[in-house]
Amino acid sequence: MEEEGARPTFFEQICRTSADHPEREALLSDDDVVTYGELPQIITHFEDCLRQAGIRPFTTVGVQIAADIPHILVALALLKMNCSQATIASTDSASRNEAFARRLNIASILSMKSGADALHPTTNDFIVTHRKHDEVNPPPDFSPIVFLTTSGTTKDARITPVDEKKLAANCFQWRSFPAGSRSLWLAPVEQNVGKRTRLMDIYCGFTSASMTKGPRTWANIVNFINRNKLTQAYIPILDISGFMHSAAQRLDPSVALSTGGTRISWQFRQQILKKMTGNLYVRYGMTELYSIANARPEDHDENETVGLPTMGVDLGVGGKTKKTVAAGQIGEIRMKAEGMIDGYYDDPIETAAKFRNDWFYPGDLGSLTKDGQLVVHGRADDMMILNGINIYPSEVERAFDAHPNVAASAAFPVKSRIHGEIPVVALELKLGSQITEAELLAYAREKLGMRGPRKIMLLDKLPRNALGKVLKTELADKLNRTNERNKT
Amino acid sequence: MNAAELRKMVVDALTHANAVGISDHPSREAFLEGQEDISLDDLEIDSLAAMEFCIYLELNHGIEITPDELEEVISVEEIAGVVRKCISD
Repeated sequence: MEEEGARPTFFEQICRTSADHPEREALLSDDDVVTYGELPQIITHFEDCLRQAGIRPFTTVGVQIAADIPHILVALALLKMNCSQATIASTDSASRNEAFARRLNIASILSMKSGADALHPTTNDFIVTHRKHDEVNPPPDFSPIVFLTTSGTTKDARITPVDEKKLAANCFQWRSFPAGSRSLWLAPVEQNVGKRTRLMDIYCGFTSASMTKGPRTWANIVNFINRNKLTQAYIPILDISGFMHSAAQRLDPSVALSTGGTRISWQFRQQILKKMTGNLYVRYGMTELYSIANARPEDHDENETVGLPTMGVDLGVGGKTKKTVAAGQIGEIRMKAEGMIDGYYDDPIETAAKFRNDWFYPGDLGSLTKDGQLVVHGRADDMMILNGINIYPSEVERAFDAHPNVAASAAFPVKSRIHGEIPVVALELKLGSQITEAELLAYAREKLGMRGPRKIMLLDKLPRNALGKVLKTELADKLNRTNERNKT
Repeated sequence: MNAAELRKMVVDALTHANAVGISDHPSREAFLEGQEDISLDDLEIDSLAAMEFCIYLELNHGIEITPDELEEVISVEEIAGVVRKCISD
C-alpha cells in the first residue's frame, strides 16, 4: 500500500489484492468462503443486483442486514457504486429507525430475504424500500460516506460521517500488522466498530472471519480460531467478562487477543493474562478517528496504560494554560490523524466543541508516562470537584477494583448546590461476597481519604452498552430516583 | 418525620461524619430517647466532620445544610433543631 498521495478506492485496492493473492481468503465463516480472486466479481454481481433493484448512485442507502458476509458485500458494492450508506440496525425499533432514516435523508432501505444465497443472490433476493428524500447534487470530489454512530454513553448517539478516503487512510494505521493477517471480530457487523474493522480488513488484504454457527462460548471461539488458523481476535470486553469463568483453554500464544472500548482494570487484565492468553492488546479508539493507542502485551501494569499512540496518530495531553503538561500530570487528551472526520453530521454545536484548531478533543482526561504511553483517567465531564478537590473517577475505580470482593466498579458524581460534585460509586460484587456498604465505605476512607466516594450503590450488574461501557448517566438517574423516594 | 426519627438521623449522620465521641458517648441512648442532650464540648467536630455531616444528609435524605449553619450550635439537640428548621422551610 502507498504511504502517501491519492489512496486507491476500496474496489481498486481489492482488485490489486485479487491479482497478487487470488487464493487468499477475504471473507470466511462457518458457511461461506470468498477468496480475493473471487471478490471483485462477487462485488460486481452485487452491484448489478442493486442497480436492477433500483438503487441509484450518489444516494444514501440504509443497510439492514445482520449477517456479516452479505452485509460487507453489500457495503463494498455500495462503495463501488458511489452510494453513501448507514446501518439500519435490525435490533432497533421501527420508530427509531424511521427517525434515523429521515435524519440522514436515506433514499432506499435495503435488506435481504431469509434463505437468500449469501454470495450469489438474485435481484429478487433484495428487498428495497424506496423512500421520499431530497435530491442532492453530489460535489465534484464526492467520496461515498459510511455513516457510523458513536457509542452514545454520555449523550445521544452522534452520527460520524467517514468517507471512503478517510476509511482508506484509517487502514494505513494498520501497517504494523503482518501481511495476510487473519482476524475474527466478535463485534456485530451492525455496530460501527464491527463494520469498520471488517471493511478495513478487506482494504488491507487481510482475512475477515465470522462465527456463524454454534453458541459463542470461549471453547467454541478458541476452536474456531484454531480451525481457521486466525492470527488475531477482537472480542468486546463484555464478552470476555462473560467467558472468564468458563475459560478453561488458553489461546495459542501466536494469536493476538484485542479488546477495549472502556477502561480495563489491571486486575481484569491479570485475569485475562492468567486464564486466556499472554498475548493481550488493549485498545483505545474513537469512532471519529479509529484507533488512537494500543497497549501491547509487555505494556500491561498497574498504571492501566492503553499504550503508545497508533502509527500516524498525533496525540497530546494539555491543560488550561499549558498546551502540553508534564509526564504524569493529568490533562485533556487531544488527537489528530489523517483519517479523522471533519465534524459530526447535522451537529454544528458538538462539532465546534470537539473539533478545534485541527485537533479532536474527545472529552477524556489522560496522562502520558515518561516513555509516552497514554493512561486514560475517564471523561472530563465525569471529573468531580468536591469542595475544591479534584477527584477522578479512575482513581476511585482503581481502588475498588483492587478490593477482593469487588467484580466491577463505576464512580460518578451527584451534583450538589453546596458541595459541587459528591463522588458516588456503584459496585458489582463477586459471587457470594458478604461485605456490607459500611465496610466498603470504611475501605474507601482508608484508601482514598477525602477523595473517596460518600455513597456505595450495590448492584447485581452495572448497566452497560453493547460495547461494555458503563452507562454512568443511568447510574446517576437511578440514584436520583432513589433519593427522591427517600427525601425527608 | 417525628422527633425520635430526627434524632436518630442526626446521630447516624454524625457517626458517618466521624464526629469523634458520638459512637460511644454515655448519653447516646438517652439522647436518642429524648431524655438528655449531648454537648458538642464532648465531641470533636472539626470543619471536615461538619462538611461530611452535611454531605451525608444531602446524599441520603436530600437535606441541604451548609457547614456555616452549624457554626453557632453548642449541642446535638441544637444540630437537630437546625435540621428540623431546614426540613420545615
